Amino acid sequence: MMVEVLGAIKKETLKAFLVKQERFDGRKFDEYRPIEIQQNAAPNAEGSALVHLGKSQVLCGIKFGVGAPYADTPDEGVLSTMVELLPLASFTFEPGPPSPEAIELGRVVDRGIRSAKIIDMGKLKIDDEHVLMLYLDMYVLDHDGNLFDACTMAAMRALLDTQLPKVEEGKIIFGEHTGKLDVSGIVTTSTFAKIDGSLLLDPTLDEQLAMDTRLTIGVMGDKAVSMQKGLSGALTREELFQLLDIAKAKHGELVKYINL
Amino acid sequence: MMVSSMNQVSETQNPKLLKVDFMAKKKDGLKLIVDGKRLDGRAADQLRPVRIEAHVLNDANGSAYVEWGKNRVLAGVYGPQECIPKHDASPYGALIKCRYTMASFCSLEEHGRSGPNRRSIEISKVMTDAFKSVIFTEYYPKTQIAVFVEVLQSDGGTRCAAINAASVALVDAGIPMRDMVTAVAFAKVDDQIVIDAAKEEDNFGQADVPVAIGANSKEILLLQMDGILSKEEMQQGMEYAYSAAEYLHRLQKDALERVFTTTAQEKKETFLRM
Amino acid sequence: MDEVHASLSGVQSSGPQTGVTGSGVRDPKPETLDPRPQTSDHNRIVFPGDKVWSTPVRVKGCYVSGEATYASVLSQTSGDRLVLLRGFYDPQPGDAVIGYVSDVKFSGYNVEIFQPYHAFQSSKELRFEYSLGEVIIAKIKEVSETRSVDLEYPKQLKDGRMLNVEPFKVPRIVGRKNSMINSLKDLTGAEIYVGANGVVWFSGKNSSLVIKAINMIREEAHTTGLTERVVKFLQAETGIENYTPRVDEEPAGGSYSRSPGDAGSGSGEGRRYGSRDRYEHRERGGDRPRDRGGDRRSYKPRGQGYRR
Repeated sequence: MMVEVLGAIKKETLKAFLVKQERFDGRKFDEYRPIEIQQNAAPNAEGSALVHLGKSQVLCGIKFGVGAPYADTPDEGVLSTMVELLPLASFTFEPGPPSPEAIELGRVVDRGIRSAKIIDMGKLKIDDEHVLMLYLDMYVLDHDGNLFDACTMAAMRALLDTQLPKVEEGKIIFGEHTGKLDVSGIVTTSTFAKIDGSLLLDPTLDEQLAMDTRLTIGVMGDKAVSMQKGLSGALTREELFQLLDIAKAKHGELVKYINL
Repeated sequence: MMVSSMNQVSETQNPKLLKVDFMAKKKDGLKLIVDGKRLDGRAADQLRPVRIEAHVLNDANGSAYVEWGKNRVLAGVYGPQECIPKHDASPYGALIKCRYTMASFCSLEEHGRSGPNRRSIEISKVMTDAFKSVIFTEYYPKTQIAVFVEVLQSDGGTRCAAINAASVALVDAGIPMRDMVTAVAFAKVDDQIVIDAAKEEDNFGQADVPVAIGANSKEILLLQMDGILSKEEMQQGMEYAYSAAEYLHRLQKDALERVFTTTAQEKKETFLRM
Repeated sequence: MDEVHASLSGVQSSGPQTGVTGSGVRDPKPETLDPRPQTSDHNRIVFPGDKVWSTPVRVKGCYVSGEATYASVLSQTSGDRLVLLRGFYDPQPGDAVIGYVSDVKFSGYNVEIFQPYHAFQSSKELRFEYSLGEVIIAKIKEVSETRSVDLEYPKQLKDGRMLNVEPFKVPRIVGRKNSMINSLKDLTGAEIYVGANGVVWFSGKNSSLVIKAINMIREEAHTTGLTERVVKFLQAETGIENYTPRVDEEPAGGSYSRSPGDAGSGSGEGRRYGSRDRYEHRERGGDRPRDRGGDRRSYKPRGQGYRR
């Protein structure tokens, strides 16, 4: 309840800024905060990356396991994506089972990667009964808004550095690798907050508390690969295509950061 | 006995860790100590390299990051804040809630489950007990002080790293305490007492004793043990532990002092880098 | 072991403590205090559990055990005093706090003051109604044993921004004799209120400059010469030359603005509503809460005027 009232207050104050085309932190409406990406942030994992997006921090770790494939895709590995909103990241996160927020984040990041078909899941097959399970886990360490984009960037960088583990007799020999995971493209997401009619890219936590609605668009190359609208406000069709254009324009910029 | 640390030894000088098949039981003939040196080249009284940074998170009231050998642990403190659930609140003082969990990718081996399991719940409990004895809970009745520790990478001895991180995070959060808490574990390996067991020594050793001490009071606030130890062995282990704790306490204090002298950008550059 | 932390009113001042500027912290009698803390290091940082004095001294941030005094929070020695580097707000009657209405009840309003404690403003004897989300500044009337806070004399703050700062840094934002806050107001033209609970409310055209200045104060709260540096910075940004920080010699008898024109300066730390009144009763023993308790019922704050 306190968070809702706080959101209403932030919105009131923010409105006065938006009218002057300003944001609290002085950015333009279509500007990202400073982004820093660090490789190999969790060396025990088969692939990992840490992303700083403004003050938000997300650590992605990729581990492999051996398991049975899905019945309808017997020759493909299994991608399992999860986002953990650690309670130490925000006073709004409480310990316990994954919240709807965490689940939505995980599924949206997963959707973009899956739709874009950038991982050759066929290469993860071991034998007729076993496939490699790719566990893509993102841990949010510090929340200052826009976890969608931070998680996606962390996931992409981690995937690009992932080493396939050595498998012997159906078991993984941890610590030994057989080459890199084949990743054929880069997916990025751009998240927008609509506050009182203004469309802001990469909302901070304050802007998120104040927003009426949110749209995340996943892009690869010049195509959209995922979309997710959040919260109960409304979007017009013009706004949708406006944001799609911005997302496609930002894709190149984010790819540069991910490629370091 | 002065316990030294490998902080002075550079990465290239450390002998590479012998590969051990973790899945198999300890093979006969696996020696954990050869010619007086342990698997990673340390002497019996040497700690792994330890690095501590305070105030690494933006939202938490207090935070700390500890790298201990290959362990990486992140602690965040919130509070005093409203107690949730309300019926747990105590009119006598704040409720301390420590929560120790391990990231799914923290171990070199299998992917783990997120969230607490039985082992981490027990560790959370003994940590909570240790901090309850030093925090002035009576100043904040009906509130809770939450301490979250996440193990981002594990290599034996994570609970001690967690306690050291939590202690620094609590000071960073301004929670009033009687004392700071420092933790370290000693073990018995190949019939010898050693300080700060690494993962293999943990798994295949003969005894493991994590201990947390009030840094100034020198009182024992946390103590666990498994294995078989004689009184003399325990005394020697405690000697090592107390000596190590003094060194670690200095690192904790340095970390807090540096909060006031390093910039946010410098912090970002050292966080989670090897 | 005698471990009693007798917390005194208000937040520990970082400057020399004098009764008139109302630091709220009782000066320990000179003969019980070591001329210097334990070591001769100037400005060393002390940690919880570190011994600070070898005599019992009851100030905020320390506790007494046996015959010595130990630190309980991260602090820095400064001469023979302790400057808190971390700490919490300890609500005291008379403090001005800033918060927002988080719930509207039949008998009054729940006010969120960003503390782990409940604050309530009764609607009895109020001339105006408040709505959910409205930002107000109010005075603490009473603090119960479980630290529930009762508020009085609320005043609405409109069209401004709130910034949460660490409560123990509030004295630096106010400055000695209001020198810092007056400089901020004069050089930025903003209306600024500071609550003892660490909330700074400001409005005006230079709000981003105010934020920069406040963040500068927060970063360097533990240093000296801060007021001069902040003034220089603001002068450079605004082009205003020839400015010396304006000091208020006597507290104006109010912890926040009581007339529409006056931009007010909040309570900062130690400025009590009707403080001049209380100091006339100083012979009763000082600022300790139990000393004030006796005459609280009888004293009436002088003048009231806000929201005409």
